[in-house]
Amino acid sequence: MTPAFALDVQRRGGIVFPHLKDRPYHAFRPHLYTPEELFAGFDRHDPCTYCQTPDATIHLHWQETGQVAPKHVLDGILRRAHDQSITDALTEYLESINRKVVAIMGGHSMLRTDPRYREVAQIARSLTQKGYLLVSGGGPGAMEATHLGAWFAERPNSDLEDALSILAKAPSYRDLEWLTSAFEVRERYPWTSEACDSLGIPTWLYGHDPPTPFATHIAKYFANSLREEGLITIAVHGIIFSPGSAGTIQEIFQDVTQNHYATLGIVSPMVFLDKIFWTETKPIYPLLQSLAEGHLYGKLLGLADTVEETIHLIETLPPEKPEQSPNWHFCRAHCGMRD
Amino acid sequence: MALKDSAIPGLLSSPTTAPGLTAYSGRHTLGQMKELHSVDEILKHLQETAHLESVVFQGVSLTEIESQLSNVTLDKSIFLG
Repeated sequence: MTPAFALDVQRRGGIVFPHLKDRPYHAFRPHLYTPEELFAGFDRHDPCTYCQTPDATIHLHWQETGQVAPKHVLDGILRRAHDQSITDALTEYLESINRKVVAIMGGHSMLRTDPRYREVAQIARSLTQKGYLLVSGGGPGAMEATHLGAWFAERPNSDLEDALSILAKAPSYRDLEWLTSAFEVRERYPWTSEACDSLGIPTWLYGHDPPTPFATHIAKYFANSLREEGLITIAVHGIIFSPGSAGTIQEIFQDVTQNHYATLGIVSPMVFLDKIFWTETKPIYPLLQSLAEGHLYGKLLGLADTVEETIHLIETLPPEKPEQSPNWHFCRAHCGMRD
Repeated sequence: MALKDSAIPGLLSSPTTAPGLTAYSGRHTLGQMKELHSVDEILKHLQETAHLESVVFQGVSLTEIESQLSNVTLDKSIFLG
């Protein structure tokens, strides 16, 4: 838009928010990110080319402009605008595909060689085959396993096993070849169809973890709080919690809060993968059972130890709507308003 | 009461959603406003309605069609980027 036209638009009653081209991101982007966009310029034979990609460049800009506390008000405003645009694009995407959404949560430090990593991939592969859209935080570890599994939904399990062997040469996201080996898998086993799509929702707050390139659609936020809450909110058909640390446990309680108060007028299943972990190592499950007593979501809690058990729980525990959604309001209760 | 198999019933049925997600009111809309993402969508909308009132233009380069918009009503329209 030329400056003269922008002025003309405003004279005629329009409102113009200009695109500031000196930022490495478009604050008003109309679509979700793709791996091809975030990793543009990446050469899988040279791991350090990642540092010049848009994903790394935006993270560097985020760091240089104050990280979570922007040094300049304009950066604060533009980041909020960017995140609103992402939410808008995410909403449009979900509506356009009309698939049931299931999330898998779990630690970013889960190694590719961890048996649980394989299990998460197999769960995601199977649920994708059944038509669910798999979503995760879009990073390494259990998150990557989620999107890897979805990526292989239309291929035989032997192909997934071959991919796991390729990825095993760089088990941790801190390994030099973590990203190059992922792109090697993508090259050997290219995207097949939209039936294998999945959605990653990462954040530049944790920008030191590159997003997984197996997520075909990426809703990357600056604000981690929006990203976390949004991820949990869209997973109406359930969240599978694989073993994780503080981040995963935070997500459990965010999800519980939505279920406990029926904030969205709906309660969703919560499936915990690894009985020993969730009842003894990090004994969250007994606490949740106690918390859920007398609440609808109490019957939507499940424990699983295998791929089959996990899938069975997701398929047999549908989200439910409470008979009465919380609608108490001070003005309605006391003043006769809002009826 | 089990829900029907819609993709995201919580968002479709709930009047409000959690922070980070706006109400789910339909594709290409921000709230109740029509959202246009490309020159083609703009021209199609213009052909159908003969105005561009209360429309959101998001991330579209308008340079090529500025002249076509010179006599069109733009009241309450929002140009994002």
